[in-house]
Amino acid sequence: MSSKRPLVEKLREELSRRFIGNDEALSALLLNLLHRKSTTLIRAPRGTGKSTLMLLILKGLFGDDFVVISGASEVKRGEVVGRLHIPSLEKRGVEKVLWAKFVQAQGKGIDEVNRLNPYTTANVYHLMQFGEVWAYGQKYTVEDYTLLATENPSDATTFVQPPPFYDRFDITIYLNSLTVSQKFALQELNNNYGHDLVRSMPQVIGTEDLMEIRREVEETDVEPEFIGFINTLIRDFQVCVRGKEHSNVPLPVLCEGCHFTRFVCSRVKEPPSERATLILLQLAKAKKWLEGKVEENDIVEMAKWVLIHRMSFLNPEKPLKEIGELLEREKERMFERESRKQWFILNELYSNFSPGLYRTAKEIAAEDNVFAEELFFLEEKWVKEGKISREETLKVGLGIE
Amino acid sequence: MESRSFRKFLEEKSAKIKVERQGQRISWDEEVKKDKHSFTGFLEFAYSNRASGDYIYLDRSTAFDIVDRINWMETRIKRLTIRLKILLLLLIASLLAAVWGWLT
Repeated sequence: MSSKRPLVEKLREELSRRFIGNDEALSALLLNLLHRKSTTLIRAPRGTGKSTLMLLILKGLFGDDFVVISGASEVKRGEVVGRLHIPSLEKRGVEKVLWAKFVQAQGKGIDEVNRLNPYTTANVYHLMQFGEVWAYGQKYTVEDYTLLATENPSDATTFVQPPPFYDRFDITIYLNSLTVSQKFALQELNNNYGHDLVRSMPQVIGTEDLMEIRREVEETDVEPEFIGFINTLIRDFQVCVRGKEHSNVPLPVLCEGCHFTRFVCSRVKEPPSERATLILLQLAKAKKWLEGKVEENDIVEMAKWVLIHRMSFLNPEKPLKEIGELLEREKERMFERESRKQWFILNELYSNFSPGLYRTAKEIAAEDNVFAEELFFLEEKWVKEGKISREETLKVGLGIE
Repeated sequence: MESRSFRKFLEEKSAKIKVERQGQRISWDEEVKKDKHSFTGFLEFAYSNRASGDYIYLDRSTAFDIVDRINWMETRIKRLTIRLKILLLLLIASLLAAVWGWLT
């Protein structure tokens, strides 16, 4: 067991002493803090504590050494990226850049990110994407950081942020308003801490400790079985035998007559990026590091926060409900895969071509588009080797080729 | 594209499955779990009194068998309906003839 684990437990404890409810979201947030360049988006209606939660986390990790910018106020480029050092320019004609505290600080917060102007958003996006910022032709490379942002999706915003910007957030958690008993609990907390929950929050994890934790989490091994589970789960949301990714035909028209309409792919308009796989793996590592084990159900639970802001749904009215339903379907689908022993069959086919197993694999592929894709690769190889003819292939059978 | 870690994943999944090999032939036992998400084979569901799972799965051959049977039954029903109609018409005709005979 890592000697640093109690620090994370202590952070959880201090948070739960000051933040009521939303336990599941809070657990996901804590896990997401345990990898390098962690970025979290907190989405919630007004007054549900998203800014408080952001500040509590930043305080717990960085004490008072963090910077928060607000989309609600006028943010100038100089405050986010950097400004020119006027004396250097005037006296020596040198363009020296004074990099903003926001760029330099390890703890970064953006309140109401959906109200940031496009220029600031572009700078923050560049920081998250490339780990650097540019000003006046000069570059500043950003080391490890923790970025938390908040937004209320129901607020009328000045600018609509682009989907690639949201994709750069590792997870998005949704907060709910408090129940009656939780309101009582919050009032007690407020009384206990003199109505200043954030100020009372101690720094629990130092910068060095946080770096060490993140290094240990990075080195944590997750079993190939779970990596396979993550990759398959995300692929289920991406796959489309009709080439949704490069098609201009909208859903559900594209799905009409498709053999695979009962799967989650038919409910996903825009599939998640590969970042979803990487982040889910990071969360699985963090979970294993913190709790000693990670299970398939944990991965499905965490997937909710990883996927929700990376996809657009066919039924976008209630995204949390929709993702919940789709993940439930995925549980059943994973169970079906186990029952069919399809990975075993694929493994056998990788080792040796067997006509009998190939027939079984083709039948399975007709029930699983992700498995079908893998079989397509093998078929290509067998066609080249002359073991099967192109007419026999599944692609031809399904009318894809 | 073949990747080493993908093969390792496949091998790990395969290692957990008990199979019997006889030359080229591979066979394994199907274990049916009776939990919330468990699946029941269609034939077991149709012909056994044992409690089924929430889901019932069909392999393709059973599904084709059922479709064949449905098609056969539909043809049979159509034929019987036609016969029934003919019989009914004959009955009405003979009744009418009897009534006509009785009246005259």
